[in-house]
Amino acid sequence: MNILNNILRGTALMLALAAWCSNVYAAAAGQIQFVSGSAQLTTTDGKTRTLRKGDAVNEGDTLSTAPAAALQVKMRDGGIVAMRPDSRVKIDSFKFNDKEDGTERSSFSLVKGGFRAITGLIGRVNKQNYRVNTPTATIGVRGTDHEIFVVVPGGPLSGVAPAGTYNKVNTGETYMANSQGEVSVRPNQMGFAAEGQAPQLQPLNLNIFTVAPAPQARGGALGERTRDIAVVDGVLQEQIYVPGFMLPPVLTFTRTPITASYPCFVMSPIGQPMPGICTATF
Amino acid sequence: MVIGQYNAQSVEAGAKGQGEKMNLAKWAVLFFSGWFALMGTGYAQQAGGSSAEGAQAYVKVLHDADELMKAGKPADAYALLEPLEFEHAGEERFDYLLGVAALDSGKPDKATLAFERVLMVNPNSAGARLELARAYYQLGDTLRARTEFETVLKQNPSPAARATIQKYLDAIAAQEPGRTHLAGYIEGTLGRDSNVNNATAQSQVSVNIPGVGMSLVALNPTSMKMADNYYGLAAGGEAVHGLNQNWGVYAGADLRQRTYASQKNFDSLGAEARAGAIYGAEANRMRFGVLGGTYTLGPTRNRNSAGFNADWGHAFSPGNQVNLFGQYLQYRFADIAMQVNDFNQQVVGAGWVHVLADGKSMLSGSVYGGREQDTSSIITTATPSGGRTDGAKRFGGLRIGGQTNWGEQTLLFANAGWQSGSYSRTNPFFLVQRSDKFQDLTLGANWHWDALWSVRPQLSYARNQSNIAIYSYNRADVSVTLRRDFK
Repeated sequence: MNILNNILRGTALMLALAAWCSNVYAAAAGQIQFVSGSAQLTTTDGKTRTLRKGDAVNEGDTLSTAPAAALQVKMRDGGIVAMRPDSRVKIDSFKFNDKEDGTERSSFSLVKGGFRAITGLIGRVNKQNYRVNTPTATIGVRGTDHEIFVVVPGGPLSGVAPAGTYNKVNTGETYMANSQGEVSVRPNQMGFAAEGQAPQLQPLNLNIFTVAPAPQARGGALGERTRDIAVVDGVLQEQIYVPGFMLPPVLTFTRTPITASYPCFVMSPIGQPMPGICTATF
Repeated sequence: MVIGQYNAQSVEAGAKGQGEKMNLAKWAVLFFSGWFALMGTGYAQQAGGSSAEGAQAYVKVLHDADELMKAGKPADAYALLEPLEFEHAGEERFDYLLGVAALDSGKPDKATLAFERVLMVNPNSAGARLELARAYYQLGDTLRARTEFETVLKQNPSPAARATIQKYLDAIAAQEPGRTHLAGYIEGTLGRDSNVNNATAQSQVSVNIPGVGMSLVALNPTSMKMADNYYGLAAGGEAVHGLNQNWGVYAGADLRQRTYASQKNFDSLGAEARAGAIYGAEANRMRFGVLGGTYTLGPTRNRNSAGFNADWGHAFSPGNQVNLFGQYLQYRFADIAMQVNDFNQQVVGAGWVHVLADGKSMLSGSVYGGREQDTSSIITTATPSGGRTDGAKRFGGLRIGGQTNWGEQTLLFANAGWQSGSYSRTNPFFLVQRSDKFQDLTLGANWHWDALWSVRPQLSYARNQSNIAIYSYNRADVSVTLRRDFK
């Protein structure tokens, strides 16, 4: 009996511990889905630790990535936050009880660098409950996938772009607002807000929004298998439309008069009927 | 819950003393509360990966997803992989497969997240970068698509990949605001036509002769089936100018000439021109504009045509696109003897294009319907109230087609159609209301031995069955065309 008792006690303790751990996750704002390079988390009480895949992140935490590092956080509402290299983001608030009842809330502060956000359930119904704050603008969404960068004076990107907040929309719609005004940003548009200036639309700045790291070596792709995608995207490019695939390639109507000849009586020069050949045109 | 009760009862039944029972009950409550709490946790990690069994299951999932992709079921592959994304994000093979499944099932935004991870782990992955560029292209982000395509080009990709990338870069250039994209072609054809005039093979037909009744009459030779060899020349071009990210304008023209070896009355020269606007946003493409043409048959002008058309295409996924199209054209004949045949034609239809799993083959289908209103005001004995002898026409049809890449340089294609048409009036010569059934089939190959040069052998067969003998015919045309494109 003692053995059974001990086994049961030990198992119960382990399960209780596991349940406690998972409840910690359940209460967390999100979890690290992917990390490449060095990324740090700083809690509200100033404790800093290195982030690893699976780590929980909570309301009040500040996430930062080193140059050439990146991470993706899966938020509890299903959203994704993909942090770019050399960036710092604070989770100002995150409240979500698995319902879209108006109490859900998500607010981030982008201190430097950039991140991409694919919104989850928060902001889907109650749009006003999702916010991104930057030093020069506030960004709200209407259900979206968007990317934000903050260029700070003297920062690594200040040589290629003026200081301010850049907001590029992939799908959906966002708006950027500050004390000077507001602008709506739609897919494949880029909004820009500088200090003391109203947000405005600008041409996409590829110095900021080219996110894939450059190859480290050249000439290495010759042997690499790539999918044959010529036909696939030919559909989108409308390059495979061949006459005859949608409508008949030939005309079915008559192009020339159809004529026939038949024996008949015709009038002779003296006004008498005489055998002859008549022509009918159909 | 049933399992919990059963276990609790079993544990309870095994206890001997009351105190022990209490103790066990307490621990049992803790056991099961912990169990249920753990099971109910939203962030429970996916099984697999930590044990040999799990690793095997994971390998099977990757294999199954790969097979689903090959079977042309990217949405199913995505559904299989997506639940494992959190656990396996960061693994290059998984992320690449997930990205491709997302991309091919119409989720380019999800695909970019996966390909971003691949490239963070392995920046030299040209395959992932190429797919990332495609995803950007599908999202309408042509600037980033161009950047990534150009980066892959610098990685010295295979000739096939290079050709594909160049197609994208051309398409992107055509969409850029303020840029004008020009494309043209010239081609020469040699062929044999079994029926230069779409005419019946019968030499005699039974006709109602006024005052005589039904009589057998002999069709004149030019109204009968005649075969001949021919050569043809064609040239054309189109310019597309991008106004902004979504809008563009286009203008184009084609000139086609055919000269028969002996049937000079059926030599033809056709010229067509078109202009209009193009709109593109995300998965939608629309094109609408005006078009007109003139057609010369033998030594004289045969007819002019003018009207407008519109086409809307929506890509549900890269491999599935639907089209709605419509066209209105006025046909006006030049010869006074033919002007009674003037008509206005309206056609509306819907089509579907499906790319097969290998990405190298395509199937298409369409249904359409329309009508022709006869418009002539010329009064003849056969048309006392004007219009055509047979009156207005209603028609409907369907078409199917397909094409597949055969090797690196050859495209095989086939399309076939069936159309039914009925007319509104009783023909006074034949005393019936005309009714036609038209079928056609085209088979061919396009051999690109060079990026700009191609040869196209082609066989076409058409047959019209009509309840009026003079409109029944069959026609076969075999030809070889040499073509040079200009881009």
